[in-house]
Amino acid sequence: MKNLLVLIAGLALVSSLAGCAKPPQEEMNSAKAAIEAAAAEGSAKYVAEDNKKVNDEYAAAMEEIKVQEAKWFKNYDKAKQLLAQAKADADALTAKTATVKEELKQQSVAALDEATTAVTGAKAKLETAPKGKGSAADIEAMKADAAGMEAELATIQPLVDQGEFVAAAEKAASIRDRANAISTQIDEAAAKKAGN
Amino acid sequence: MKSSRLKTGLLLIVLMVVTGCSEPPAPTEIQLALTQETELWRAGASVYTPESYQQYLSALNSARDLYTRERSRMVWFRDYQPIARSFAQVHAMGEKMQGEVQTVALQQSTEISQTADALQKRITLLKELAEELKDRRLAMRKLTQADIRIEDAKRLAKERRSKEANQKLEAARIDIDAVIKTLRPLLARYADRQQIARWKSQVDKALAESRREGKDVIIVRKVDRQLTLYRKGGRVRDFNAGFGFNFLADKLYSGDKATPEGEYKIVKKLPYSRYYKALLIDYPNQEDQQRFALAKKKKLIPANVGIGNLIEIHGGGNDSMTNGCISLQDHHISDLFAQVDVGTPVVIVGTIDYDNIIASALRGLN
Repeated sequence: MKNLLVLIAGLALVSSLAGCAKPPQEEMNSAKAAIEAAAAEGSAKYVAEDNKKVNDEYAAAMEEIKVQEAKWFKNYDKAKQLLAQAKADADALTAKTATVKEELKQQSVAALDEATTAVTGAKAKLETAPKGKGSAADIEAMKADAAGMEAELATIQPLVDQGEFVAAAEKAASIRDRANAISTQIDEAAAKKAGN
Repeated sequence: MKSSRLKTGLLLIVLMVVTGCSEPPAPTEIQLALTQETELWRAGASVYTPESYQQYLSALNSARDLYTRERSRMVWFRDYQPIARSFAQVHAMGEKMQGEVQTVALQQSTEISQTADALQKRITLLKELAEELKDRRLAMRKLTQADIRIEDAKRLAKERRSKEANQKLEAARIDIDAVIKTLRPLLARYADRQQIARWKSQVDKALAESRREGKDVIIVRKVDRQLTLYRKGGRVRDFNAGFGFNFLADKLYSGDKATPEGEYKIVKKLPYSRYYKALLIDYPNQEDQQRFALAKKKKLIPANVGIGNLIEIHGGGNDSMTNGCISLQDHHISDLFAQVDVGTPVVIVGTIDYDNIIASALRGLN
């Protein structure tokens, strides 16, 4: 019986000693650095939902640390676990952000190329457009349209440079469609003339 | 007895330690509020109702701090009821804000959409006008740029970037207004009832004379792009006519590519013209010369330009662009050429229709 009492007292002593545990500073720094790395990559802009999730995880870990800090018997195991999860997710977020960003960049560059090709093609077709269809005024109006498209095309590369890939891709697609519409009109006119 | 008390005391300590380590369940209000916060973030509360959202976040953080403090107490002293109430209050605040966010989002989106639609209507109107009148100046590149900017604004609005969307719309509006400002002085004449009355009076006078004297008269209406041959005051035939780039203006000097307006007559018939066949008219007449002299005196036109001449009704197709002449299809000029003589009056006016396409377009633009 005496031995049992000594064991229980020992357990109690161990438990109370746990109250002297210190906050997991290394894990905190590591998780924070991982989140900052994701932010520097642009996580808030490109994968906002995942970015919020990771930040919420980190906030929950910090709350757990606060809870333990105020306790007599401190136990940071859960906080460490939460921080480890936040760090792992932040690392994954950095990788995902880089992938998404690269994909969007490629898409916007490809869209810009397509738009440039479409405008150049439309301009070339306008130079050789059959005058028999419609009037010279139609051609002039389409040339003015193409000039407007070309002017707006010039605003896309700065968008790509600023990392506004979605905006750049959508604007490029809009210009490409407009330019292709001109080319189609000219092709139809040429086909009609050939049919005549 | 002493041993029994010691045992009880130690057991109590063990119980305290053991039960103190087990976490009681958190109030359900907490999870509700946290889920709601994510929903509000997704709905764009920080964009649409930034002040309310900050107040909400502040209240949520206070509730979380309370909860953190409470959790740091020994289990037996914890009271989650005030925590549950705090989170319930935050939740109620969030619910109210969800409504606000939806209202503001809808309001901003509607405003942007309405402005974009109104601007696009103006562009469409101006482009339709260009299509109808075959005047390239009405399809200026600025309109295309404005159109693309409006699309940008719509996309930005979808991304909840209302401020940037409004900036794009403002840039588009400035471009459209610049186009309208350039065109208005030229187009305004076609909505000016006094001007139209003057044109109508010239046509009526010419037709009355044709009726009275049994002669031919050619009436050209620029907006309608029509040339009509009248005989004894009655219409003989309409011909589709083509003009120059600047045909809506009244010719003032050589090279302005405008088609003159006024009362003229055929002075020469040219059976072999560069443009198939041609009927030369007596531009400039006395009135044209007076206007030219006055414009030159007032330095409204370049000092070194002349008044111009050789204005004809010729062939070459009504879809060609002239330098101020009136062009018809070759078989039409053949027909007209055969029917009229030197001396036939030619009256060229803008329009005789008070509700012409330009007047109605200008009303739309206003």
